Amino acid sequence: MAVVDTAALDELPAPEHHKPGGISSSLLGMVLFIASEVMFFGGLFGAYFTIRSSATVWPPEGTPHLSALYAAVLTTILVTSSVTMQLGVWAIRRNDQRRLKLWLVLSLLLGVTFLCGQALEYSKLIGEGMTLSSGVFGSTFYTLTGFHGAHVAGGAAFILIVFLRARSGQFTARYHDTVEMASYYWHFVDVVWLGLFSTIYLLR
Amino acid sequence: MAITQERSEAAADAAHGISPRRHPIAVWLTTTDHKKIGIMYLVNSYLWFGVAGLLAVFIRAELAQPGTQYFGEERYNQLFTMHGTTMIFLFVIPMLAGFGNYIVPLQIGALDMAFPRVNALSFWMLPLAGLVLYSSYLLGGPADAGWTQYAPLSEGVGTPGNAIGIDLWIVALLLVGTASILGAVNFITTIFNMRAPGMTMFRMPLFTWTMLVTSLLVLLATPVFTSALVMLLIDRNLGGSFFNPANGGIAVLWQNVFWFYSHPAVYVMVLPGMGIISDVLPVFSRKPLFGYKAFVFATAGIGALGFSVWAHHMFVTGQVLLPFFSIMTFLIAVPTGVKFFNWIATLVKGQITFSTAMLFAIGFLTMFLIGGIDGVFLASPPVDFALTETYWVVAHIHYVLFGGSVFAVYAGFYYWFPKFSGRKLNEGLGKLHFWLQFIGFNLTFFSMHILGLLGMPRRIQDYPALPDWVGLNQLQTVGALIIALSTAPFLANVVMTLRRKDRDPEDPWEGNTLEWYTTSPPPAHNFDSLPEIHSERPLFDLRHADELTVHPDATTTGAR
Amino acid sequence: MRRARLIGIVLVAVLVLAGCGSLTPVTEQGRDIHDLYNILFVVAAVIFVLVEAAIVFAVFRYRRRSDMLPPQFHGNNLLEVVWTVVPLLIVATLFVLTWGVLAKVDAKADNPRVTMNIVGFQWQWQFTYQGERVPLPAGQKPQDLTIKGTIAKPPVMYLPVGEPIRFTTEAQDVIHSFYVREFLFKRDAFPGHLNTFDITITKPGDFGGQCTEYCGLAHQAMRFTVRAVSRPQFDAWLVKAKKEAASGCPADPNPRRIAAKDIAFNKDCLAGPADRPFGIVFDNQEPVPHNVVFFRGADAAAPPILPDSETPPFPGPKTTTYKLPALKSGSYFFHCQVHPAGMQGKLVVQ
Repeated sequence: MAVVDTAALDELPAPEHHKPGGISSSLLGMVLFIASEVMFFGGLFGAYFTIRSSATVWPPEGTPHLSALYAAVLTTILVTSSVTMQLGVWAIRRNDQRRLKLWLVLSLLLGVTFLCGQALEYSKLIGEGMTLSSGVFGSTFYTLTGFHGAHVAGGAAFILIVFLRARSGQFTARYHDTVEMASYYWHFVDVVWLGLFSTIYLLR
Repeated sequence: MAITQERSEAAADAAHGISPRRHPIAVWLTTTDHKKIGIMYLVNSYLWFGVAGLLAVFIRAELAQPGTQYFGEERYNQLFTMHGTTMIFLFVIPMLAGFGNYIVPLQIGALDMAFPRVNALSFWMLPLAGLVLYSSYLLGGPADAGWTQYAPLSEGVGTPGNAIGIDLWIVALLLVGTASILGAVNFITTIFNMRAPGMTMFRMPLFTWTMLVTSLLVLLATPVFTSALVMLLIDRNLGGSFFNPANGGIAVLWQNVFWFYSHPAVYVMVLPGMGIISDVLPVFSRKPLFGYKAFVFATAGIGALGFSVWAHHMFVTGQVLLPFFSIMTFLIAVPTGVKFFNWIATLVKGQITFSTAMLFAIGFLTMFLIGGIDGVFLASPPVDFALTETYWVVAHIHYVLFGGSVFAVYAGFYYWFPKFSGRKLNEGLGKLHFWLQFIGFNLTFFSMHILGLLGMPRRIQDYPALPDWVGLNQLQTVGALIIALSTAPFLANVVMTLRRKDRDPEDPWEGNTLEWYTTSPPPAHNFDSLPEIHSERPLFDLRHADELTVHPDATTTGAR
Repeated sequence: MRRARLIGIVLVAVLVLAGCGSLTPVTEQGRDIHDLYNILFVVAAVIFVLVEAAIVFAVFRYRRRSDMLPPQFHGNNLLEVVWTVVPLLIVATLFVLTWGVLAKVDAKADNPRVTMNIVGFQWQWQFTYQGERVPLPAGQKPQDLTIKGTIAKPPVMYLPVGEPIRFTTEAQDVIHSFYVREFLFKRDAFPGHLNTFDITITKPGDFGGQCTEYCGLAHQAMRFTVRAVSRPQFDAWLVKAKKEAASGCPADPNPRRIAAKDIAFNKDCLAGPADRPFGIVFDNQEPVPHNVVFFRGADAAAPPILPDSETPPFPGPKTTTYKLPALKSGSYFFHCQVHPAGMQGKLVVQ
């Protein structure tokens, strides 16, 4: 019986992230969960489009100006954080622990920056009189972007946990499903933002 | 006898690495074993069935005569709201999930669900949700805008006294919805990733197939309901304007988002039941299910089509595209019909025995036939203009949900009780239960078709004494009491059977599917070994290997 | 087992046939709907009988007779095709029939002579005959003839037989639904959205209706009656109704006196002279507290005429006199502050 050096095995590039004939349970679970979250946002987007299509003037009179430029900056930040997250995934697939931690930290910082940017825009808009209760535009805007922000916050917390686990050396090229899961979730959060940005800021 | 049994069970547990010293309550509270979780689902759901059934008896008591006898307008409105909400969200949906929890891993030869701890979390959210919902009785009054809670009524317009009831309703349903979605993730992952070797997708039992399609519906539809609940919560408490036209919102938006979920939800409530019937009929006919693949495609078809029909609940709003939703609703009758013909073909040329489980399965066929057919009337918008919001609809929903789902649930109980406990339920009491329920159910709900044709609207606490209205209402109240009575032999049966010391054979029905391969009840890890799997009836193949040719690559066995 | 099952089936069959206890439609649209229902019913009954017979037959004929394993049929592709295509054809036909009837029911007439604007509110109805101006006393804007119901006194809607009538429905607060049983028809009344439909009544008579979209506490009390009469009778009624609406109150020997009993006023119309102060006597005949509050306009949104201190609710039996100041000609809304939904009316000053 041959002696198998499992430690050395762990450092080899991992096989595809699936069990024979499928994808690993954790990843499948995350994909399914993300599908359900997509439908949740779908309901909110549906409400937005319905309300918008029956309004004669959109945004309604008196709505404060929404800066597409500002939102574009936030978009760039979030998309970049998706790129860094993916770089982190590629790093751990090569067993590069150092780069994994670097890219995780960058993704986390960019995500938090995005949230701060959102908070700033909220405070500006609230100052100009747009709130959840100021009318139909306020209701839809804050609900859609608010739940998105909550998901960003949740994703950021997830990345933080992954980073801490990475620091204690829990991931290898062979075993790092949790990092992949976090990246799926983070990309999903990014895609939802792209939808929000196009719908609320560009399409109007 | 009991002590030796305990000792040998303890020894068996110790052999499997389970500590013998834990208190049973601690075990059940912290378990992640899908079988124990499944039992808890079944028990919890049946308790809520009793509560909601009591509310139904109160409703029928009030309706027996015109005028106010026991429950005034406000109380009555709360009654039908809580009855519907409890039956749907705390009974039918979790009950079927409970069967799924216990049986699906066994049917595919897995040792547990994919995510056992999430599974436990999913369960415990349910009694919590029930408590939240019913705490409203102590906190100013429960929700009272119907289980459908149409806005703007549910936003608090013009309704006294439900300051917090609807908010508690929202929170309770957010809990139930989250539990369902997590459960769906679990079922889908388990079914895709944890099947035993040889168990290809097209060799899975039908019950597992229906749980898969149901879970996909739950996964994709429930979150839309979550978004509706969230928007309603925001409108009610944070000054939002989604659904109130007074603030620029759109009243009919609630109905669209609500029914987008709630229509697929009715298939969530019936497909697993149809799966149970599809497992039971072949066993008690001693033949395979006729048209297995057709069944699978019909189930998938119903699931997919189910997303395209929601506005048939809204034909009289004047704000939906009538022809589209009408044709899609008519179309759903086709895969349902395919299932019926395949079920009947399963019976034809069989050797049928009439255990109680089989009686409920056959009863299901007739009841769901009626319920499905009277739904087709509602698919036609002009006829719907006459019949919607009347007792015709009440008849329809109860024929499919009670005559359908509840009969299927009981079929599942009688069929799988020996698997859960090692003992069959008493057949004499079972038959008494069946006949009382069959008679009581039809007495209560059949004449509601007539009442609907005569124009009696639903959700009214009082009604004018028009010709036949009073007599029919009285008949229906009597029927409801008989239904209530029919649960007595069932409960007595369960208690009696569990107290029996002796055991029945571990595969008392000569079942076809893997759950019958292991002991009754199964050990913690489900299977000590697995047979070879060559078809959708691995146990049948094993039992009759000498009689019929078994080709190792066959997906079917036996002569045509 | 066999006998009991048979009894079950017979019971069901009898109930099915007895189920022809349905309403006779009194409109053209209702007749079309009823005819379509009958076709659906025949198809449904045939399908039910055939399928149920197959179930019953199979269950009896193939009872276990021996230990021998029955032939293990797995399926038959031809059968699957047949019993997919045939039902498909049946439902397609039913849909085509439906489409035809829907077009008829939804059809709009070119120039309906009567247009009813229906407004639902918690918990009664208001019917306005669009275009039927009521000449109100001098100084008041003419209004279309409006009948507003109360729970205590549900409204009667006079309509002509034999010609298309346009209806519009909407609501003031939550969603209601306008349903007349013998029309075999209902349509929702939405806040923020107007529904429109045409109905042609074919038979004279009184036809009961009520709200059929659950709308809260007194949903079941939102009842009304449609009174269909011949065109000449309708015209005569219109004249009479407009005159009554114009003159203020129907013939009443004591138009300055109002009483309360059984949580209702005994009239919904009071009258007084213009431009000089006058008194209204209010007799509360029961221990339940009531009052009469008069408003400077057509509803309770207008400011009250008297200060609150002069109109406190009080329990009876007790009589009081409200001293009203000089008022301009017009119609002034009043209600009981304690029971505003069911106890209201108008004070006509001229």
